[in-house]
Amino acid sequence: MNKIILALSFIISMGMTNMSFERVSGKRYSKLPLFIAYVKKQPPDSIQDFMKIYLTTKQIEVITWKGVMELFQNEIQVEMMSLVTSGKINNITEAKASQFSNSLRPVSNILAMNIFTDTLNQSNYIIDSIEWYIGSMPVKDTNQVKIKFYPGNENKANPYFVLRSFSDWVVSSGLLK
Amino acid sequence: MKKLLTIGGVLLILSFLALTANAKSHPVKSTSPFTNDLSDRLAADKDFQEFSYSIYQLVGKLQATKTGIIFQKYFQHSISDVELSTLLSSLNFSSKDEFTMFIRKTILLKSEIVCKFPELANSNNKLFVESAAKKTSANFVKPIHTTGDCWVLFLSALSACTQGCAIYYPSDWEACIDWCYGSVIAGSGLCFLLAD
Repeated sequence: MNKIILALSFIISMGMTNMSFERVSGKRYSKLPLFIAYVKKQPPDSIQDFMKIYLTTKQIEVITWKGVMELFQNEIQVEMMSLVTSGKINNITEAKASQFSNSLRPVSNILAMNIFTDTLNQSNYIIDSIEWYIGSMPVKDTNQVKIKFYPGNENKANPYFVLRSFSDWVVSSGLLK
Repeated sequence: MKKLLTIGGVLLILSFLALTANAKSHPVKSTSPFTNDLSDRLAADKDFQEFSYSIYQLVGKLQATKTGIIFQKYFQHSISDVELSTLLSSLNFSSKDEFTMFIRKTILLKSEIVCKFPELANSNNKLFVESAAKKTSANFVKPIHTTGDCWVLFLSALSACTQGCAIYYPSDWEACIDWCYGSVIAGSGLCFLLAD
């Protein structure tokens, strides 16, 4: 019976925590938070910081991988307890259980970026192009179409101008959930 | 769990039978003799559902804390101060007033139910109460799952880590997997904790 009470308390608390995308900061966002994954080469810290700050000014909550994992943990708990309290977990078959990871809802957008720089110019960080796509955690689509962003020649020398144009493009793409 | 259901059911029936004499003095609301089976109507009644849930919770706590005898003593007015303190803490009541309020609320619910269902005054209807109690309890008493059930879900969640880390965190795959597995373990902890 104690177990049942524990489960019932969980259901009540679950309803209170899963209502919106309100995070630790206390701010309310209309979209899922975003994790920026630099999939091949890590850019300098200044570039990573700029991306984070600029996207935050666009009302997008940028979180770390640790933050993604905290949300993922919560999602696993909510979905498992949903199966427990509905009784659907009892004697669940392996075939049905394998669908469990697919049933988990995305907890975060992932902006996967690969920045190509001008290797001939070692003294400055000149961005040639950026290959990117928007994914999610957990992964929902393994056949992501990678998009290429080419900066305009006028601002190419300044990486922050390029990243600003790029970020605006990403935000206006409508791909963020 | 079956034992708990049986004891809870018995307590429910007994509590209604004890009210049989009083029930005749309550104002009787009209009920159609052509409606569904009494147990169905009882099971669908919000007051009966709330009453059943209170009783099952109480029985569960009395069983878990082995305080049934002290509980009886309370109603026989032979309970000592120490025993009362034990009873209140075992049943998660912060004060005697809170406990008294709970008892009063339960009795009020019972009176409401007997008003709505005057047929309960007839002791021959105890089978309907038992049947309704079983139907109602089925909504909040679920069969207990096993750790094996949690285990298969746990393995499925791990596969999401393998996939996510390979795609988004290839530069430090091992660290990513460590984080992710930690989250899956923590996320599925409650499932294992509640398993039989």
